[in-house]
Amino acid sequence: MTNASGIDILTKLREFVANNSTSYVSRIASIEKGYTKLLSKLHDTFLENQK
Amino acid sequence: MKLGSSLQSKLAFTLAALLLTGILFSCQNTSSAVDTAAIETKSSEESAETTEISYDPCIPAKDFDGIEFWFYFGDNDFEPSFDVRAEELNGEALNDNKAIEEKYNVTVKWERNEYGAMYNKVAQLVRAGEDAVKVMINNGNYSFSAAVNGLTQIMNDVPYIDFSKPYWNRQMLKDSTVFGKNYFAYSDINIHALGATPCVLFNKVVAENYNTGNLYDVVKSGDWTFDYVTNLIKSVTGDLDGDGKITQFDMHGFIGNTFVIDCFLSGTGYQTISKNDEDFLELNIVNEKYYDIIAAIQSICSVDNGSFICDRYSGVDREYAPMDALAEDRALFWIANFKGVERMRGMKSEFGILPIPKLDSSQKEYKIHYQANIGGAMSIPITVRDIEMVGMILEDMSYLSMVNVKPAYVDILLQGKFLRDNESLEFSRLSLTAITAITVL
Repeated sequence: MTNASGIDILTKLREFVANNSTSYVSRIASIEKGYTKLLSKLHDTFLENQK
Repeated sequence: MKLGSSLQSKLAFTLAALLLTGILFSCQNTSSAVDTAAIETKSSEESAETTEISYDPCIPAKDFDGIEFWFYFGDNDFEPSFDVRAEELNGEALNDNKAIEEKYNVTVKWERNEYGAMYNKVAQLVRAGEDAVKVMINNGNYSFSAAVNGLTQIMNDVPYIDFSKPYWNRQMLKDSTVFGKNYFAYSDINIHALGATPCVLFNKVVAENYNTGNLYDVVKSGDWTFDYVTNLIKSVTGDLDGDGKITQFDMHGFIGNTFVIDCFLSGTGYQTISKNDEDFLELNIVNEKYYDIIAAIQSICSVDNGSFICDRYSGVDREYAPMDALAEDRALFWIANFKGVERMRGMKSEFGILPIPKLDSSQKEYKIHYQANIGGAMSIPITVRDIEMVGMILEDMSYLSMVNVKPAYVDILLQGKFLRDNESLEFSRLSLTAITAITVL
């Protein structure tokens, strides 16, 4: 699968599974925090877009 | 509206997650699946008759004075798209735009490039204000980025486009709105996405040698779960050459690349991104259910349980090693998509097609995802001036694709050339038609 950004939830999941990572719970919380900020920006962007 | 480059570069994650795991449709339980398949098992001719009567948009012909109607589409070399191009695949012409060209006096043209390069090219043209590209077809990531960056327009109000028609992928439309608006859409033109639908291939010779029993019966009974598959994988994986380690050349219960992880996730039906009351994206990755699912995927993919994920090993070709193992009777399972099935058409041993297993027996239905990140979504650049023309052509082309292209793909290609038994055909047809079948039923 092509991944345009090189960073996404599925990429992280692939890393967790392929590397058999046991620290995914703490890392997911960190990822979620960053993406929540991004979603907030997207929210404002689309609102502005649709005016 | 413009976003910073760092933000822009991160946008893709949202759609990747939204489309790959957030948009799921059910393959239905066993009884429904059979019913659905029966409905869809009409011949192409019967389907054409039915859909022509029911769904022809009846758009009047119009003379556009020989204009070149440009589709710019992105794909990749490994899985090339043939959404728009008249394509000869093993002697079968899949897509023919002559009817559109004659009806509207246009010349359908296409330009192809790799996903990112195509996005950049379209962005450059749009920012220059050029009305050159009528439709961009690109994967979900770039289609979403185009929307965020204001390059493409809202499609809901485009004249003649009727998203209630079955040739538009209504499940995708519903789940990819932002504040109730669609910036891109998939229709039956986009068989590239259809062909990227995931499935499990199994080698029947290996299945017989290892006494797996009738796997189709297991699926129909609803017992096709992670645990069931894991036990089969364990029973098959072995060190063929006796060198004390499992390499790509040994016997594998299950071999694949990290794409299988996406499939296992979507197979559980879990949605990492959903929508809130505003119809905006909502992230669902911090909870016990998701943690449990990750643990279950880790388990089924683990080395200890006999799974061979090619990406873990340097020098192993993540695309071809699984195909070789399956073709050489050294693998029981491989998770791929229908394009992968096409590639196995020359395989000597018989193989079958199965759904992605359920997380556990409490899960009611088999799930599957629409492979939006490979398949092409259509969007209309903001620089398009004759939006009515684009609406007419996309609507008509989508309708004609439902009548001609999709049945040709499902019936002629899969049934006639690639699949080896009726059970595989039944499941494949269900998978490939569920996108509309689920909303029709």
